[in-house]
Amino acid sequence: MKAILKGTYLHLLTLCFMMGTTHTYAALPIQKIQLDSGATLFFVEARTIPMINIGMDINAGSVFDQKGKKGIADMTANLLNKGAVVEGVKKDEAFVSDKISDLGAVFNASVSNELTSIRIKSLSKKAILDEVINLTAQMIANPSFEQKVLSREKSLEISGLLESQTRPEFLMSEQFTKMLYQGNPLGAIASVAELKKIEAEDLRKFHQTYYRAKNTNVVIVGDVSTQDAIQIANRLTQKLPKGANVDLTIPAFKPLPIRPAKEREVHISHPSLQAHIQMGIDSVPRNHPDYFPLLVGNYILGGGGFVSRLMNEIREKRGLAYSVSSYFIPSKYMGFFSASMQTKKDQSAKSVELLNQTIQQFVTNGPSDEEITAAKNNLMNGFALRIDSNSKLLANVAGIAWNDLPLDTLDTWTTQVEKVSKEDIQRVFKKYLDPERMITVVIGGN
Amino acid sequence: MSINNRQILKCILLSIALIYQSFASAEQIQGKYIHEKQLNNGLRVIVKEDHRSPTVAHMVWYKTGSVDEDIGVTGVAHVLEHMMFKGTKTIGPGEFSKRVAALGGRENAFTSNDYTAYFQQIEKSHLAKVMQLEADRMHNLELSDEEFKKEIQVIMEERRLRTDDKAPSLLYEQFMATALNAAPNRHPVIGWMNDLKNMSYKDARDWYESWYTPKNAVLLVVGDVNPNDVFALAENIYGKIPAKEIKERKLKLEPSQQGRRYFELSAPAENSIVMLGWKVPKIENSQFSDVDPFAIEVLTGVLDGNQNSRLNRQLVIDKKIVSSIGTSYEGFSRGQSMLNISGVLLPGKTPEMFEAEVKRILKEIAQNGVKPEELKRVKIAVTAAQVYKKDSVFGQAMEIGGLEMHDISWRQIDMIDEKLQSITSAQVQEVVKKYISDSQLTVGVLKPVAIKKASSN
Repeated sequence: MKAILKGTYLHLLTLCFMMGTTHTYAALPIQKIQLDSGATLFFVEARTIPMINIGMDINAGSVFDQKGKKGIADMTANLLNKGAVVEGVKKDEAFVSDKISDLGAVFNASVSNELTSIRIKSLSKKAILDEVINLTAQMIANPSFEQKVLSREKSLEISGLLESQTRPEFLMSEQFTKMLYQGNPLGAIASVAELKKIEAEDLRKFHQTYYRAKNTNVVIVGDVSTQDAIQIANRLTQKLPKGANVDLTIPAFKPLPIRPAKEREVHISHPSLQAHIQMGIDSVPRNHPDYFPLLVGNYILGGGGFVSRLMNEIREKRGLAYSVSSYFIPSKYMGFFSASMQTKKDQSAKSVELLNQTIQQFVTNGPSDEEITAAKNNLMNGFALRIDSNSKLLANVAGIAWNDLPLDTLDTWTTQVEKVSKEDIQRVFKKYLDPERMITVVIGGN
Repeated sequence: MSINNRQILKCILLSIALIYQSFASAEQIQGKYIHEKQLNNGLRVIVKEDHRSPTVAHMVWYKTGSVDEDIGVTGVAHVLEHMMFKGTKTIGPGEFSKRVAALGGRENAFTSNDYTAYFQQIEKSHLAKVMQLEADRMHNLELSDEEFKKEIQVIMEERRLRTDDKAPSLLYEQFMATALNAAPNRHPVIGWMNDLKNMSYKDARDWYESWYTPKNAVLLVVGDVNPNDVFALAENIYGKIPAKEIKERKLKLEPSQQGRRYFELSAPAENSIVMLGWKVPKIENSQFSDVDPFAIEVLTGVLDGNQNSRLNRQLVIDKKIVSSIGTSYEGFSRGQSMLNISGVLLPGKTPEMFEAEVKRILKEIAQNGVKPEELKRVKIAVTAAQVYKKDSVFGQAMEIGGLEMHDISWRQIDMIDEKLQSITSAQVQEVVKKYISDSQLTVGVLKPVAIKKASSN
């Protein structure tokens, strides 16, 4: 609340993480190790600070939620730090929270449509780290899923969801998601009615079915030896549920169809002062060879902060918006392109037109040589900033692991950027940003 | 893609408590890696070495923020910050950002109540180039009516986005304006909409002339650098800027409050939010002799430091009155400090219930103090944060800069930590007794206005 940033800096940081990639000057080697527990370890030794960052990415995304009970995966992760059987004794959430605080550790669990992500941060001092691993391994493997706790968390979740449903930015992203995924479970959204139906037994079943060592990547960056990292990763995963293999196939994603403009555009009324506008289309997953031309091209179109075309046309030249940007979100199963902005109500029609026009002009004519040089300069010269902390490194390595990218992805990143040509960019933008399939959502417009 | 709604709300409340972090995180053995020098024109240069990666954070902090603004031109500190990207005598509008981007840099700026800062993060070999750009706009800014007229539209959109369309932000804005009469943090950093509408490029120019001088700034460089090289560069580049006196600062003190204040705000939302805030002391004159601000800081940790601390335990988990709760206190401030506690009410719960419960929890501390293990937990968090913060070059620069703007030197960071570690249960008890009274309290309640069910075509 206190500080106000000029631009979309925080947003850009998130974006870098989502692009989930990068790398090298003196490359920190990533070691990939198959563990006895069945999990896979990705380890980067980083000795300068006496701390360790641990990530556990489990193939247990909300895409596997039981039909009609959307929210199970989320609730399962939410309850991991709210009670567990520790050393054979049932301990409540107060015990778990106090213990983590007493160790100075940080524990988080979150869920995306593709996966469940656990993040642990601890001091690397052996006595402390040992206790942190001992406790968190049991929290993850033996959560209590108490009915009482679940009931409370459900009511908190419901109150939050109802609040979100009053917000234009939420309504926009909800509508966009619905239209983009067209019923694919990757795009399912929780409703109050579905949340109400979730029972403790559903969480137990989900945990039992999907929290499996063999479906887990453990990523460690920090002040430990390889041997210690292996031991830590084994301890975190060997007590996870075991059983027959589960089917992890996800229904194939259906590309958006070609439709007349009217059918691709949705307007929802809202009393907000600003209209929230988002347009987008499906594109390619992260491991697709077109990823780099899309990355460089999008830097020019709307990813390059203050210097992008969208920023220039909409904010700098016309003062229509505070924040306007575009990005490709490439994930494991599919990817999509999105451009968004907010502007006061009576400027919404003009803005949608301008957004459309700027994108289409870029698709039709492609970037100029100067723009490509500027984009490459930024991406290549700025590479070091993508991996200059343990936490950024962890995010990048986790992205490599989850998307099955080569281990040298960070080492070859700048070369891949450099190789992108003007023709590549024009080809991929023409191929993916089909104006006849692009969808548009406007909340609170005129 | 995950949509965790409760988190979103929690984030909004927690963002109010942002500054807590910079206060609570201290560090030992500062001196070994930090170096300082003052140039002849008054600019102070601080360099912190961190050789983990070949990057550097370059920041210029100006000790001027919304607290220096006068009635009628609120928001001008932030407006000028935007205008700083609109060109100088030597480079055109937008050119600054283009050049930094081409070097692979990330850049931005931020304005707070107390200060305005500009930064670039960049691969270390480009440091001199960003220094040149930043030094240029310290004294060569060109302000034109044409650029101003476009940018003020952007800023009004920013206000609509961050405040007018967000009920929790509106509540906070109204809260500060109600709790405070004369203290300058009573008006929002973004400024009142009417003031933005009536502002001209001349107001921005006056602001620039008044506050943007080497003497009123601190240059901070953190990263993979040699301090002597940085000092030499600074001398060469920033040293050429002529010295200049700044405008006289008027002390704007808050008159004493004599009785509870209460207000309601109606805005589109689902849940009611209640914000309680008491006027409390801050760290004065760069001195740490008064223990109270440190005790209040520890109190916030006991109340709201983790999932099982008092407020969350009792009001979210046990009594289920609120879905989330946030506590904030700014020990370093150029305005009036407040201890704020806010909660998002669950259906069927009333603002009166929340207020009564929070007061009961505070009274319990006033009567019995806090448990040794609660105190220990807060202190462990402080110690761990000192290690964790080293993972971010930018975070380290933010800490030093934020303190400098309150006339606290990096040499005192260890002392802040020692002070926090020394706080006793009796001292926490004492501050609650001393400052938590209805006569110092302001209560703000967000009354949700239902939104007509959305219709789509």
